[in-house]
Parts: sequence; structure tokens; C-alpha cells
Amino acid sequence: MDILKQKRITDNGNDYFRHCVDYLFKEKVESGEKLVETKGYGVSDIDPKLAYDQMYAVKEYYGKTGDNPVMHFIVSYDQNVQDTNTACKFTEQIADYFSGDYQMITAVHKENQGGSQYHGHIIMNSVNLNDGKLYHSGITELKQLAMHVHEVTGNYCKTEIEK
Amino acid sequence: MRKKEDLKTVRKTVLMTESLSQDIENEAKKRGIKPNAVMNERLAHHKNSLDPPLMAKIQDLANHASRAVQENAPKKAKKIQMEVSEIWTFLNKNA
Repeated sequence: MDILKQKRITDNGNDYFRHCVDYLFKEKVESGEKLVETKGYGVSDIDPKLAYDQMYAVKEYYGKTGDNPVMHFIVSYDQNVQDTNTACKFTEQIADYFSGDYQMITAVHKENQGGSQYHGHIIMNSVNLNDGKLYHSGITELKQLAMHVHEVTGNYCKTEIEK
Repeated sequence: MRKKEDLKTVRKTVLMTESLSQDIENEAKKRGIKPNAVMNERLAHHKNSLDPPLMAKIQDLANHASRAVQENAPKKAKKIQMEVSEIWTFLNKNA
């Protein structure tokens, strides 16, 4: 079973936004944990400051700097995902669901979390690139994303919302 | 966060040709947004032909290029990213 977690922070949103972006570029320091890959979609994937500024520039363009700045999804893959190539391929295919509409940074971490060996983070600008609309982060949208995760991995996908 | 005063709007009556009006309606319909949003966007960014979808596309190309050279020429990869970041600074410039 895969677990799809959605984090949506509205208090001190900009601090959380910056922290999230930095986190996805940071090497893991704990033993047995590893940053496998960081990828950018519509943002730089080698420099967290540039990535943050590029997301903020889109918010400014549409005049949406004051709302919930970022969506954070975490997919913990089933323990049948045992290699980095599969984890990276799955994360890329899951991110395809939003690419072209939203800027994103994805990161794959290798870390044992209750049997799950890999998890993918997706940090997404809440402002749509094409129309400036804010992403609607309801349960319906999360379930639709979970269906997409299921189609990609073939595993049942459980959803969780963390506030 | 923007101040309340910055969000205050005023109502203006603007005359335009039928064809321009139709063009705005068509774009709004295509993008699933209101004609008012299209008009505001065109006015706010009238001196700038860059827009977010175009910038994201340019950035994706830069990411492909820097990934291709990252291993053998990391300085070049960084340079590609810095050059594109300069273009990003023009997205919200109207002068």
C-alpha cells in the first residue's frame, strides 16, 4: 500500500514555503537516509533560492502573493518498491499529473519508514501557471491524485491530510 | 502579504472594438477564467511579452541542459541556471 499525505500550511505560510524548498535540495545527514534525486518543473532544480524566487515571480505576476503559498504532497511507496530507479520513475510519473499547469520541485528520499524504503516529496506552487487560479486543496482533489498514484504504482493508495 | 488598500478595485468604463472584445472573450473561455481577469492581465503586463507558461518552458529547457552537463561541467550547469534566472527577473518588469 502507498500512502499519499497532503500538507497544507496557512500560518506563517511563506516561512514554510521557503523551508520546504530548502528541504528538498538538502542532502540527508542521518545514517541510512539519502537524498536520491531533486527535480524541478518550471523552476531551477539545482538552486533552492532560484527555485523559490521563480515560484514567487509567478505569484507576483498574478497578484497572488498573500494566499496559501505551497502544496506539499508526500508519497510513501509500498515496500515492494526496492530500488531508486523505480522510486524516481514513479515520482516523475506522479508529478506529470500537475506538470504544465503548476511549478513543482520533487525529491526522492531513501529512508526506512515503517517498511517503506522510499518516499517522494512534491512541493507545488499553489498558483496555476496558465490562469493564475489557486489550487483547490479539497478531499476530492486529493482522492483524484490518489487514483493517479494507484494507476502509476499499481498499489492501493491511502490518503492523509496533515494541517 | 498585500495590504487591504492594494486589493481595492475601481470600476472604469472602457470603449474597445468588437474584435478586441471578442478576442478577450475567446481567451477567457479558452483559459477558463473571467474576461475581467484577461483584461487586467493584459493591462498589468502590457509592456512584457514574457508570461509564466513561457518562462516555465524556458526553465525546463535549462534544466535539461544543465542536467546533461552537470556531471562533467558543474560550473557550466550553474551558469545556464544563472542566465535563465536573469530572464526570470523580467517577468514582472513593465518598464
